Amino acid sequence: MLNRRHFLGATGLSLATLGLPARLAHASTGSDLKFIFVFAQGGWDPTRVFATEFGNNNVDMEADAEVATVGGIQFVDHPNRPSVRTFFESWHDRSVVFNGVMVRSIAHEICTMIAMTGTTSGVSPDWPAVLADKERNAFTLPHLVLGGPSFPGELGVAVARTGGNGQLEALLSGTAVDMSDQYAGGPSSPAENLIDRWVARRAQARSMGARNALETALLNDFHTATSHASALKDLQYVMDFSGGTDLTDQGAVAVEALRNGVSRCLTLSTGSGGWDTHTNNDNDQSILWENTFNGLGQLLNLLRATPGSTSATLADETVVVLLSEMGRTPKLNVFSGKDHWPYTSAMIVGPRLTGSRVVGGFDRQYYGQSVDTVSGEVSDTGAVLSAESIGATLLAMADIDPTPYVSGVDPIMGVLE
Amino acid sequence: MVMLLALIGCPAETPDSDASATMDPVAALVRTSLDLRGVRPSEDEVARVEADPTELDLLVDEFMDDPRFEGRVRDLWAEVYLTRTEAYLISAASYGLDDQPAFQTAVGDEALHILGYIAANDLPYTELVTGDWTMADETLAEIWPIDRPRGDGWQKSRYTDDRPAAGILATNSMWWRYTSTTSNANRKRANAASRILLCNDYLSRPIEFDRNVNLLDEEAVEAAVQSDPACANCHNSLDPFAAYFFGFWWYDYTNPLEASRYYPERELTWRTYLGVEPAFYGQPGASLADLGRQIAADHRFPECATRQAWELLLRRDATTDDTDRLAAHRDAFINGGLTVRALLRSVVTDPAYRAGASAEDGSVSLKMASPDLLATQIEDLTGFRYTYAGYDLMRTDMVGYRTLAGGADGYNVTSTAAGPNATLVLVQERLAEAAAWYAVAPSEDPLAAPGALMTVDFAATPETDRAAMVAQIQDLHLRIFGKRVAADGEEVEAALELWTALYAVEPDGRSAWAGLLSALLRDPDLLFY
Repeated sequence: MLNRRHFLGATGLSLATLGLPARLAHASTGSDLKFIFVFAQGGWDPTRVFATEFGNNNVDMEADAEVATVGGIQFVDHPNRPSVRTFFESWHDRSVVFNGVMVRSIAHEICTMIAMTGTTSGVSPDWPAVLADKERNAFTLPHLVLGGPSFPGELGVAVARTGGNGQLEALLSGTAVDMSDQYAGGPSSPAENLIDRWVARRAQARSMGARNALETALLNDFHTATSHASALKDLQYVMDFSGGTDLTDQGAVAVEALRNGVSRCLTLSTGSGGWDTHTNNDNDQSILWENTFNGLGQLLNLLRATPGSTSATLADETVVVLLSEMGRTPKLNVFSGKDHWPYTSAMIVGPRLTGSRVVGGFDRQYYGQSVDTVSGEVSDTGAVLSAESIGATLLAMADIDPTPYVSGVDPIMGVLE
Repeated sequence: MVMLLALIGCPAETPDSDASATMDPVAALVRTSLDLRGVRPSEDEVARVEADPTELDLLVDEFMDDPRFEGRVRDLWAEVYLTRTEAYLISAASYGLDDQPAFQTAVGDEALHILGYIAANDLPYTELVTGDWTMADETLAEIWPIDRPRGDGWQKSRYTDDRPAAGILATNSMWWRYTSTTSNANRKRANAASRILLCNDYLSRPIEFDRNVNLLDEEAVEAAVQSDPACANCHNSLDPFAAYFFGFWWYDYTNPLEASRYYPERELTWRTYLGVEPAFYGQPGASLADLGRQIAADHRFPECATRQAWELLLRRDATTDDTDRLAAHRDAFINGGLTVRALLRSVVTDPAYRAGASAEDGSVSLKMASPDLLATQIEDLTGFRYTYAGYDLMRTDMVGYRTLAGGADGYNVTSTAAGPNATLVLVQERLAEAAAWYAVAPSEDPLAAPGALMTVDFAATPETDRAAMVAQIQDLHLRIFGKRVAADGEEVEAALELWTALYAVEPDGRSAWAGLLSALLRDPDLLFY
């Protein structure tokens, strides 16, 4: 049975056929880049893929795993995780792995905040929100969150969540009205259109009545949000926003959102499985890594198969960022689990990178090694990689000055083309 | 500009356009009513304040006598406690129950009901951490060892498993929400208590991991935790704090038999997992009851409640510029017998709370309603409660819209949004539509609302009874926005135009009124107040 996404794809409906605005094609620059953040919540164990610590007796590696190299990327190869090798064989030349990334805490909430924003303030916008906001006028939903964390800060008008169970679809289609215990009816489509226009005019009028900066911001944002909501209703006939919790499904929605020019940034979760493996680390992490790289490979393949707006394919203009809020202790605990660790890994895949490369590393104590930010090479005189330096690098890729967001931290310019 | 706006069918902003340093009294009334009882003021209350603005201060006390005040306190502090979650490790089915929504709500609200009861009954705020009682509904009484008196709904009750008298510190719901692991050794729980009760969030402090400490060496880590300044700064107070919570040391969080009880015999398990005796900033203790008394005696306890009230009611973070005001409100709180009522009265009568558009920096002449406040005011206006299969759609996320409407789930979204976005606008729209159609439903319909908001004859048209329709529109503006609009004013004209347009596409008066009502409920002035 065809669901709506498949139906729309099969019928070739697009923004153009619906007469909706599409972005004009122009040369690829940092501002043309799109971003997909994939977040592994719970704290992954880098020694299952990124941290090849086989010679380090301070680190418990799997007995049946071995080191492998594809291009310039060295990784942990395991028969239960074939998708990892498959992924790097296809995408190593666009991939940069960061090892030894410090997150300054071992608490999930704080590490998540640090990984996504570089701060613990709770009010700073996260990387995707900043990236999206810079191009907010070009997109209906500049940053769409299909899963995982979101810290919109003051940029909330640029950020929206879909909900994990089709909530955005229900809101757009109006079934959110039907799905109530006291359902008593709702507007017909023509009536809804009339009311929408009336409310939009009211929002505009009200924004003109703002009396100070705070009111101007709130009322302008309401007006903008009303416009975005209206545009989204049109988009429900173009794409399906129901991403679910599976990375592959979320990835399909993300690509549709990029293809249709709906969003610049998307945040996805790796799925509903828990990475917080205080028990049974090896088995659970292995499954999660395999599923994640399988989903990641499908996402990249889909991007490669989809025409871009300024490049041949979306893969040529989309940066995929794979993050987790923390790492896990190098040694197994008495429950065969691993606890929280303040150094982790991250990976960026996309254009404008000197790919096929591993930046940074872990020392004997499984702490992060220092890196020269200019070259990206390990250097005793450099700085330890941090969530802030990853964020600064992403902003720099998009031609955004990172200084206002990550003061005192340099982007790793050595990984940028 | 006014002419332009009239031409496009919407009134310009005129009544409140003058930027004053003090909020218009009726606007202040609306804000106070929403903040203290979650609903908009009645026509009579608007008339009282219009006739005499000083009536507002009397109404403050009346609002706090309102039965809805208790629920409002719960909703406000839900943003601090973050216990309303769907991430509990035990479900209703684990206890053989069918009603998951009721289970989830009951577990998530236990601690908040304690706070609400304290507020509504003028008990001293210290009861929050020293009370020998809890609050329980039918569900909690069935699943946990609780002695609950007869009666419907939430009742003041008592656990029967010999847990200490420590208010919310001795509730299952708090420690179902804030779990621990072997290595964490209750530090997460201690931090939750510290954050909620003392406004001291250890996790907000930057951590500098000393590269000279071998994190792989357990003994070295233990030594560093106690002696390395970078570690000891937090752990010297956090670890003894955490040592109090071992009566809630559950070995299997997914087992309802295990995780429903308090275990006095496990209180000393700190010896195994922490090696540090229970203490509160150097004051030794033995049980959670001691911790409760120590927190209650700490100067930060009332200061924290004051700060929370200030931030929740002004919808912004406190700053150093607020120091004097916060001190005054803390004093009012203490001098008022540490009642929540004294604290909230002090805050909502503060000039900063009622500041107008031209007031100094830091004033909040407009703020956005949280999802629960959007829901309660629309429920009061229309009788419509947005639930589905028993789930409160504005307070949940799995099937509901809380985070899409700007709310926090405590995990993926950690704070309530201060500004709108597209999904919030869509939630407001669908809620408004569902509520509006419910409000005009035929009275013989068993689902119908009382219809208090809509008194017009739905058969009336502008041609047959324009006066009645105009009166209805004026009533709606008064009831929804607290504004009196002229019979020949722009607002009435714009509303009639919409009604007429709706009637043209579907010649049914009831539907046209529902459409108009939904438009008004989608107004920015319903969201911002």
